Amino acid sequence: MTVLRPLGFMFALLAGLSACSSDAEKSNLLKELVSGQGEVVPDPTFLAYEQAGAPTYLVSLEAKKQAYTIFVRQTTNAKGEETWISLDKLSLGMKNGMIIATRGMGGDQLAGDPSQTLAALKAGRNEVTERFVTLLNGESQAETLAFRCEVERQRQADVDLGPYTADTDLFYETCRNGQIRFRNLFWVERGSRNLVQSRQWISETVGTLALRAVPR
Amino acid sequence: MTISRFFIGLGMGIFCATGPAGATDLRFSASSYGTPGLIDMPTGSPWPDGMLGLSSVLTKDMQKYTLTFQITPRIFGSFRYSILNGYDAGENRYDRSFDFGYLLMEETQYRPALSIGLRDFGGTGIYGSEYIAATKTFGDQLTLTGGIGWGRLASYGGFTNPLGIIDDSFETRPIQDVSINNTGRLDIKQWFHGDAAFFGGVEYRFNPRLTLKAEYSSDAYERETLKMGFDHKTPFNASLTYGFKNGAEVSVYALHGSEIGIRGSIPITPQKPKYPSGIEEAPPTLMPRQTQAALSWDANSVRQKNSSLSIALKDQGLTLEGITIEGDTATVRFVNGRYPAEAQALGRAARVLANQLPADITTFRLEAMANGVTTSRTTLRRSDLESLEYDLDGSWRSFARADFEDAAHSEAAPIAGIYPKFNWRITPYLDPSLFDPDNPVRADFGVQAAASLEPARGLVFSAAVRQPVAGNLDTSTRPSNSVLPHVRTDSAEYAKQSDLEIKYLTAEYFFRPGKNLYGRATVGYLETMYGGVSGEVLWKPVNGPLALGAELNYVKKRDFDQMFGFQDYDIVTGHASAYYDFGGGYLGQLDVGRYLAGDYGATFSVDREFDNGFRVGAFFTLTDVSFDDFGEGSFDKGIRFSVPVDWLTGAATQGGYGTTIRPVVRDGGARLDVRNRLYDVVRNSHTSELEDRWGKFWR
Repeated sequence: MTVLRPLGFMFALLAGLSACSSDAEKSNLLKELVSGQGEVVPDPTFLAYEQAGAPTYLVSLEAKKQAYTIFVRQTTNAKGEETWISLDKLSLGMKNGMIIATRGMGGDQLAGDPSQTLAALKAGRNEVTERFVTLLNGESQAETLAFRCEVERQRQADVDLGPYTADTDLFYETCRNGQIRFRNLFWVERGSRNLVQSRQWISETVGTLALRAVPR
Repeated sequence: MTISRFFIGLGMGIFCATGPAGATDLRFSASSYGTPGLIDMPTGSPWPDGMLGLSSVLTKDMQKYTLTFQITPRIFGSFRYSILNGYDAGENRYDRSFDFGYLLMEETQYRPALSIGLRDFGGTGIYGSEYIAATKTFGDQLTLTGGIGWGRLASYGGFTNPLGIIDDSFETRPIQDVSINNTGRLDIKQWFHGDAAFFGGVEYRFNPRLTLKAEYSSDAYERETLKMGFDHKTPFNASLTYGFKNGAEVSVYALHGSEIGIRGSIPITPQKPKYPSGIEEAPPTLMPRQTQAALSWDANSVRQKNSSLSIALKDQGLTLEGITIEGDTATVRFVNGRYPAEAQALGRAARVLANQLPADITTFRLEAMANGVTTSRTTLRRSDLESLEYDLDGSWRSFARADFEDAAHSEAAPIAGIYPKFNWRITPYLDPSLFDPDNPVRADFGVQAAASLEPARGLVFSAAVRQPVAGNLDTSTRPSNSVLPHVRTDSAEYAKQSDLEIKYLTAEYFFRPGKNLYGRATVGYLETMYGGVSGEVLWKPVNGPLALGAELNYVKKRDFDQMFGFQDYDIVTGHASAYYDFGGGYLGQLDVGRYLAGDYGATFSVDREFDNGFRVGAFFTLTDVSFDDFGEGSFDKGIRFSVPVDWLTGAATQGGYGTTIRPVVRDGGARLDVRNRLYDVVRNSHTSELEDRWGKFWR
């Protein structure tokens, strides 16, 4: 790392950011930081997939009002792991509706293994499961957490997906380890056993994402 | 439908980067000295490892500003700047002091934490004292502390030193030589000598926000009473503290029944930036393999400057400089212009290669570069990328399966038209001079224009020009009283006598003389005060903890106006250096050689560098200049820190903000400040640094 020296702390921060430069990245940083609700130029790759009719999710961040975006599925690899990309250049790793990774959210999940919970949901069973989450911590290291979770069916629920209303079973997945406790919600469509709507915990920094499938 | 941008820059509160959301329990007990303690008295419990505490204290006639760093789980060190109104016959005293503490014994269920500490061990001794303190917590709310102090901490209620049992000499504290030239020396003969006294106190936490402290103090405030009219009415002090969610605290305290003080403190946890994984956009998605035909790919077009590979890498902030395809292997040379973590650049480059190169190319060799020279070569297999992308243990497995080696000679054929490169930048700047003997903060503010031209790989012409706009660096009225050549003590003249300044104007050449070897030659106006010629060679294996270097310079002192002229003083200066990465983030450096004033000696440095690049360090220099000739402070020493931009903002931006704080700047042990010393230029892409931040490979 190169250090600009000798610079004072807070002021230099502004100094560095309000620069103009031959490097457009550095010039734009201040604008990006200050503007907050920055104007979004939709990612062309996203638009291409969206227009081609790729499966779509509407995703919102529970901790922040009005923070939502759209993800489309870009690809599925040999292991059935899908990568979904958003309009604003975030991505999600997904497997059958379960989030197994995030990229670009500030406190990302590098990887996750919710396969036991997924199996319980698919089978429609109440079960105690283990769930593993690998986070990228503040020291740029991968850190894997293990949770013990209770998957429990709550009730039948109708989910309005726009073109049609899905008949679903609502499940709670309540997970804890020594320090952290969270609850995920899954609306599993009867018949197809697809997760049409969910609320999934990512990390302490990000909190919970709410996902709803957008029928095409 | 409104689409709001998700997280990027949502009122980021970049100055509040003190730990993640949810860190509500971040309470630590700090004294008015800014160290682990009650009100004035120390405690036996350390802070959490790595924590930095910034605190300030105000009373009617006194201000204290302290930076304390929990260097290891057991050791803390502090630097303090105090202003005592009217202390020197009506004049204010600006005092700098250092503290040190060591945890002897951790707290257990039945045993208290036990610490030993030194206050003001190298300053003028106003606060000079030593202690042993024990602290025990009971439940979540109650903490009791008891201890024994010496020196100032035995000025009230003192009794004959029990250490007299060991040796009678402990019973008498030698008279201290407090002349200014004697400051900075370690008063070892005073430590734990003279009378001793007990102190103690209690801390009660009503709730996570509100804490009450009360103490019996063994400090009589003798000097303040004598020189500043302080009235010591009682040995008891009490304080009420309010703690904010991020760990910051504000306290009000009653001091010895006669004064009220206010203390504010902010904890910084370097391990926990506000955005642990960064907020930069997602990496390119790893797509299924494609054939050569499907990619309409051919081995020649990929060598063009505007190839789709080149453009895809550019989109990730990476510049493709060379590529060679042989059989199933692609060797690529690239410059990472965006990511502070080189591992992240490698991860993104590898995914771009996988998406852009045909299926039968299965091995990627990535050559990292710094200042035009290749610094390492990382070999990755396409199949590992594919199998580990969302693997629970993918970070470690991908690191373990990668190979790292030196790249003394690049094996990627250059792409035509990359050079010459030209870059420019206009920025505001702040040039601070902190804690000088007359004024705690001096600084200049202005505009800097910097540009660089690289006509060929490794050759860099660069310049920076500054125009100060406002500031007080030129208000220093302290003439140099140094008996040595004034190699640093007249630095204020450079601020006074300059307007438009040439900060540097250099030609640099970086090269690889051989395996594990790096070279640098620099000529021109090297820094604010010196111009000349500088040459350096560094031996640093990609996979080892040790590096050795040698630097030789011939420099001439520049004119005070910082334009093109020189003064009469010239010197040959240089050092042999050893660098060692002890692991766990501790870096040691030893520089032995000749300094700017012609003195010979050595500089000892230790830094703690967190994996995310946040760095705090300290150094001292001993040379053949006697303590008396050196003057105030006795020898050169200081602390330094640097904070990466991405730690503060979460954005993938290289660089950082840092400064060095010296209690006093003198002429002995002064080193040339040439830019781009090789160790820090090359280490970022070596195995140890890559491993530190390998979690970013998949980010």
